[in-house]
Parts: sequence; C-alpha cells; structure tokens
Amino acid sequence: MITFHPPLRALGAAVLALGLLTACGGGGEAAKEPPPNQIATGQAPSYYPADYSQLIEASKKEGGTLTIYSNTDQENWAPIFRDFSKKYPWVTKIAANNLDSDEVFQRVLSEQATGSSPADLVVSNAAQAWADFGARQGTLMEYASPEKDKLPGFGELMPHVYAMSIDPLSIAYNTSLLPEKPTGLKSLAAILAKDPAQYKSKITTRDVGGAFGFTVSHAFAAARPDSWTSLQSVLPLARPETSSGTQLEKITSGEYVAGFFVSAAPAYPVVEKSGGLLAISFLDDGTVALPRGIGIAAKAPHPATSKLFVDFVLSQEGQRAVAEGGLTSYRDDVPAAEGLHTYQELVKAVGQDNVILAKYEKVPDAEVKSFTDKWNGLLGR
Amino acid sequence: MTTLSPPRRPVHPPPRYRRPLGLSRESWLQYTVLLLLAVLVLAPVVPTLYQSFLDRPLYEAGGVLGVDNYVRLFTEAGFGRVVLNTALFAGLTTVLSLLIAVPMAVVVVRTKLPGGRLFAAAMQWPFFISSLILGFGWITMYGPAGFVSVEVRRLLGFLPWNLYSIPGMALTEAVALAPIVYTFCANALRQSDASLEAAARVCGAGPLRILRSVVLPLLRPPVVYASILVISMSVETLSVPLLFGQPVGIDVFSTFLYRNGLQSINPDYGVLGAASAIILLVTVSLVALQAKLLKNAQRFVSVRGKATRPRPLDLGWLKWISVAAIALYVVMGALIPIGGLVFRSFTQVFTPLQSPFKTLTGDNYERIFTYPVYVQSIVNSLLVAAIGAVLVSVLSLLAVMVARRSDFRFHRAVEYLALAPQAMPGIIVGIGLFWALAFAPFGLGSLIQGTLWALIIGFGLRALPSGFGSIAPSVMQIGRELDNAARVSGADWVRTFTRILAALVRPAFAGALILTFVTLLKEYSPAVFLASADSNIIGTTMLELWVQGNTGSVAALASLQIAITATFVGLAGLLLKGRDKDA
Repeated sequence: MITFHPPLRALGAAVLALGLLTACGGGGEAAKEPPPNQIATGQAPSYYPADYSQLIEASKKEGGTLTIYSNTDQENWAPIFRDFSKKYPWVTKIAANNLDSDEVFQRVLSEQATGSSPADLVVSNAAQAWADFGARQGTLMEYASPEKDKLPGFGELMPHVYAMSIDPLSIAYNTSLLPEKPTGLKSLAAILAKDPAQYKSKITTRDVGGAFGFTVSHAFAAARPDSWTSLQSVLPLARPETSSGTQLEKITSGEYVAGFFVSAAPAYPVVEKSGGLLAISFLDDGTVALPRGIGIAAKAPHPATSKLFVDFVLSQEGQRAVAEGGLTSYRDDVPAAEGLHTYQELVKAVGQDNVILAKYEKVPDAEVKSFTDKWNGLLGR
Repeated sequence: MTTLSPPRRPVHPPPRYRRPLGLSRESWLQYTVLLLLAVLVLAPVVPTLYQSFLDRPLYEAGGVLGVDNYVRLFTEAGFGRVVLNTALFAGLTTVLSLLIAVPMAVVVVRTKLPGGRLFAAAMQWPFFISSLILGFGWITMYGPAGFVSVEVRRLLGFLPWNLYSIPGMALTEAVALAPIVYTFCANALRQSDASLEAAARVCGAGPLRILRSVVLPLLRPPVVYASILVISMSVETLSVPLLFGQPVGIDVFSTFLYRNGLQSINPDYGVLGAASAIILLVTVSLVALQAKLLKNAQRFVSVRGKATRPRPLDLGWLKWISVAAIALYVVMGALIPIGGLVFRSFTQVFTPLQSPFKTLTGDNYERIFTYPVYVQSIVNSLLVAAIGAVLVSVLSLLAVMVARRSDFRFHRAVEYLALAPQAMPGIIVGIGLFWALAFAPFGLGSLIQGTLWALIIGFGLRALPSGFGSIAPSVMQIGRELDNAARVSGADWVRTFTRILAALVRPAFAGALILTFVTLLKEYSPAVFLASADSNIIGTTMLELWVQGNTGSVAALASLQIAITATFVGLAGLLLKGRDKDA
C-alpha cells in the first residue's frame, strides 16, 4: 500500500494555506485604474426606438441568464459582465466559456443540428469560420442593432454580426535579448539579418494551419505584397505557435527573442507584469486589426436578453467596458486612457494607412492551400 | 401390543427468492451489468465509426457512406508521418519506462537498499501528478530557455538535449508512466516464491547471478503487461505532444485529432473520424495482444501454498549506485520540475533572464480565487472525482464479481467490456460521447450534454479499467471454498456476495476508490469536447489559461491540484494504515 510521508503532506497543506491566505489578503500593489464607467441603470440610450422598452420587459421574463460561446478570456469579459449586470440588474448569471476560435462554431453547429443548443451568443475572431457560419441557413438570428448608425462603417462585419472589438496584432520582443526595438516587419528583418545564426528558431509567429493564424497572416500578405521579401528572411528563423499566450510566455522566458502577429489583448497584461522584460510595438509597415465578431444564435434560449447584450457591448458604455477588459474598443466617443486601449490609439500610433482591417469573407480553398503551402514552405515544414 | 413411533422432526424448507419473469435475481443483476457496460463502451465508438464513413459532419443532413475519408487521410492529411511519429514516440517511451522502472523495482524490492521504504514510496509519486503538469514543469526547467538548460549551456558551452524532439517527449512521458511499470513489477516480485532463489543459492550462485537468471525471467509477465499499457497510454496522451511537439511540427495521433478537430480552418470531421477509427483499431489490437500474451503467463506462476518470505540480496557497493540512480530519477524527473512549477506560481515572471524574486506575488492564486469560473473548475473537478470514484468503483466491483465469480454465460464479455476503455484515447472518448449524447434518443443527451454528468461518464469510462484492475486481483485471491460453503447453505449468488465476499473485498474497494479518485482528478482530455461554460474542470481551465498566456495562474492551479492530490492520498493512507493495525 502506498504510504505518504508527513513532510510532503505538510508541504501540500502549506501551499494550499498560503494560496488561500494571499488570495484573501489580496496581495500586491493595486494597478492604477481608469475612472469608473458611468452606467445608466435600467434604461436605454435616448436614440433607441420607442418600443425598445418592450424588449427590456421581455428580457425580465427570461430568467436572468445568458450563455456565451466565445474564445475570449475571463479577464476580458469581467468588466463587460459587471457593467451589463449594473445596467440590467435582473441578469445575474452570464456563463462564457473560452474555446478555441473555431471550436465555438463547431460546438454550436453540432448542437443546433440535433435540435437544441444552449448558446445564446457566439463571439469569436475566426473570420473564415464566421463567414462559413453565416452562409448556412438557420444559424444566426436576424438582428439590426439600433447602435449600428453610431458605429464606424466597419462595425457591422457581415449581416447580423457586429464587431465587439477590433484587436490589433503586434510584434512582441524580449528587451534583454533583442538589441533594438523592432518597429515593423521590415525593421525586424533588418535586425535579424545582422546575425541570422544567432536567431535561428528564436522567432515565433502564428500557425497558418489554424484559423486565427491564417486570417491575420493572409490579411497582412494580401495588403502588403512586397512583404514577402521580409518574410523570406524572417520565416526560416521562425517557429509557429497556436496561441498568443504560449508565444508571450516563451518570449518572456527567453525561448524566443521576438514574435510577430502576437495579439495585443493578451500581451497588455503580460507586458505590465514583466518588469520591463517584455515589450510590444505595432507594425509601421502594416498592423493587422482583427475584429471580434458577436452574433445571436438562431433559436437562442434567451433572445431578448441577447439583444440587450449585443446593443450594450456596441454602446458607449459597453465599449468603455470592452476597453477596460483589455480588448480594443473602436467607437469614436470612447477616449483612450491608461488601462484603456482604443482603435483610435492604434491609428494614431501607426497612421490610418498602416491599419489593415481583416475582412470577414470566405477565402476559397485553393487560395488557402496556396498561401499555407507558401508560408509553411518558408518555415521549412 | 402398541408401538410408539418417534415424533417427526420438523424440516425447514429451503430459502426461496423471487424470480421476476422467470429469471433469478442474479441473472437480472448480471445482465444489467453486461448491458450497462456495453452501452457505456459502445456509446463513444459507434458515432466515431459512423462518422469515419460519412462524407460530411454528422450534424449535417444527407450524408453518404463511403471510404473517401480514409483515402484522404493517407493522401492529403499527412497521416503517414503521424503514424511514424506516434510509433517512435510510443516505442521510445516504453523502452525508457522499462529502463527506469524494472531495475528500480528489482533493487528496491529484492535487495538490501538504504532507505528502501522511502524509495518505494517516492517511486510512485509521478503517477499522481498529471502529465500535463509534469509537461509544464519540464518546459520551465529543461526547455530551450529553462533554468537547468541555461545553467548547463553556460557550463558546457552547448545544450546536450533537445526537449522539443521525439526523444525529449518520450523521456518526459516515460517519467510520468514509469511508476506504472514499477508497480506491476514490484507487486510481482513481492509475491514470488523464494524457493527458486534459495535453490540457486544452494548451487553457489551469487546475488547478481540470482538476479539475472532467476528474478528477471520471472518479471516477463508484468513487463509485458505494463509495456502494452504504456504503449497504449503513450499513443493516446495529449499533454506532452501538445506542449512539446506542436511548435516544432511533430504531430502524433492525439495532436492530429486536436488540431484537425479544434484548431483547423476547415475542420474535416470525416478525416477526424477516420483517424479516430484507426487509432481505436491500433489500441484495441494492443489490448488483444496483451490478453493473448498473458494467457500463456501461467507457466510463470510462482505463488505456492507454502511460499517463504524472500531474503533480500546484498549487492555490496552496487547499492550506492542504485541509490544514486533512484535519487536522480525522483529529483530530476519529478521534484525539480514540480518545484519549479510551484515557484512559478508565486512569481509574475519566471525566467533565467531576471531574478524571480524581483516579481514575487500572490496574484496568481488571487486570480484563481477571484474569478468564479476558476473556483468553479476546482469544485467541478472535486465533484467529478468524488462522485465518479464511487460510481466507477461500484461498477468495477460488480463487473469483477460477474466476470470472475459467477457462471454467467457472458462473463468473459463483461471482462472485455470493462477493460476496453483502456484502448480508447481520451480525446476519442470525448468526441464520441459528444456525438452520442447529441443523437441520444428521447432528448436524453440534451439533459446530460454540457453538465458534470457528461464528464463523470466520460472520465468514469476512462477510469473503469483501473478500478477493475485494482479489484480483480484481490477477488481472485479469495478461495472458492468460501463461496461454496455459502451455496451449500442455500444462499444464492447475490446473498453469497452480500454476506461473505463484501467484507473481504472492502480493502480492495477502498484501494479502487483512491486510485480512481486520483485518476479522475487529473483526467482532462475527454473534457476538451465535453466541458461547457458551466462544467469546466482544472485540466481544461489550465489549458485555457495557458493559451491566454496566464502561465502563473496555470502554475497556481497545478500547485493546487498537486496539493489536493497529496492531501487526499495522505489522508487515505493514514486511514488504511489504521485499518491494517486493527486487523
């Protein structure tokens, strides 16, 4: 029989106790926070249609819950849920899982096909999957948001699918390993060209075999055809990763020197905590901005509450919460601040011409194969 | 003359049991167990096989049957290289596991070794740690930028190993699986008859000769059994190939399924189903091979009625080499990676480029306890493990009784069904159950889909072979004469169990509870498909946090899981030890 020695058990108990103690103590200095979001409880903006109050009344009868299938982190969701519950207090439980970007759709499609899906809302930045999803019959609920006219032109990504945020892709680098700051892909290529042997396998990018990686890489290459010159020298030194999180962790640990097409949203908190070791910059030769689509599932169990939620995240109040959560808001009436990131901030940093908005359009299979073969060929796969 | 006859002695009638529909209650119970096992085992398999022949996802109408998926699998999807990688990975893992565990089992159990008891306990610890956690720890320490790697590179001028390779992956997985081989071999050695060694000693053989000529040959059955178990576990493991192999383009079965099922631009469910079907074929073949090999294992039976207690052999100076080797395995394989992981959980940044003490923090734990969804994942894991352990242990006990202590016509089928999940990779259980629940009759699936019960079923299915394997040997050690005595007194099969065998198998049942609890707590790959926003568990939450770059919180959650496991096993150990003393 297995015996367990007291010292190890004591260690286990100590770790658990210490964890609980620090959790209750709320250890660590509180980060500097922007001023709180002002929420008008229980009422819609004045420019909403007169019958919107009926929608609010319908929502009260739906039980106060929402289920969201998303590929968004809990940290990003937290301010949005907090403020939405403040605005509509009867909504007390919002469950959002954090799936892979395509898995969101596979899950909903499987469940819808068998007659019942608990998903109210679908949130993902998988552009190809959204295009495929929207093209199918009976997958999305038709809804024209009253916020539509208040949004920039690119706010509606495809019929009945809106942008919750517009998240830029960045270059992330280790400040102690890379001698100078890369300001774009050309800049990065020039830095690496000084000693390619030293940087072999030390650069990371996103795997174009995955939906996210394909969308951002393809959007960049399509908008900047001359970038293949830089890619030809950078990609042979690179390894693909399937998530920004692993990219960031490995850049911070020194396994990679730098990475390009790293999503800025997860990067912001890591940069803040790294003590200066990790830094990011947007590409001055083209920064891809990837919209995060939100749509209401057909036959959503809570349709009225879902509509309130969509309208909320598109509203000034909601976009403010989106920015606080670490995503990038894009309404013009949400100002940038410390801890709040906005699309306007991005435009100011790299110039409007250098912002490449990824489109929610289906890319033909042949083009997908052609692009991925070329890209993977340069990677050496 | 009147004669008196003696008074007639009253005769007690034999006991009578109800026979619904003409069947005895034991038949009812036995058929129920058979059907339950069949439904549980076939539920994930049937949709998978069906999908592998469909030309579109199961959820789309109008599918046509054909073999195009298999053709496409080997021509376009690059599955051939996947097969080769998997074979190399599984083969190397098995070899390394045996090289680590077999010598250690021999020296710990059969030789005079300083601190032998401590080593016997320490050797098994990696088993209680999820290989997902072990994988994280190994990257932190031995990865290209790990602490140990940086030091070694500084000392030698180069790094002699590459963790992101098939040998690197195999070594990490072998460290996690070696305890299984060790346990099988150690148990066999403890039960073997010492007279064979005594005979060798009488002929003048020295300790080393006895080990080589007598002890090692006796280990063939457990080595074969454990090898096949390790191979099938290597074939289906997801953690290490996902963390180590994916960035450098090494695809094995599990990452192929994961990538094509969850991360692909255009998920191809047909190819996914075909690949799953082939993997099932491989793993089922392995289990069948195992059964065949063990059938001939009778000639290695060495337990006799008058077995004597074996005398430990003295290795002389070699024992210190043994001590060093075991210490190296435990420290380098488990303690350093786990220690690094625990340390990581208390820092913001953990890299040789910067002092970890510069960013000490409790924030990683605070994050876990701040977000309700993460606390929920811990609670969910505990619930699934606790409820699942009870249900699996009960089902295992019933299965063992039907398979090994009854004359049920299909008793062999019951045993095969109980062990079959060993051949079912976790990801396939997840995908298959997801589809099975989606198409279950009467809307039954929608009640279970996305709830903890889906996880309890999926995880429980995976833990069933462990439960069965834990209870079966003990039941087989109980002599048949006890059953026969009860039958002579008129008891039926059910009464025999409840009155006699139940008490005798209680220790084995307790052992199964512990084993399955730990197994269920660290399980996660079926949940990749079965979990929902309301039923996340520690494993899926760790994957989520890792993908989002919250590695400090991953380390915190991993440390919590280790603490929970350590606490549980410690308490269970104390309870069982107390019971032994009473007995």
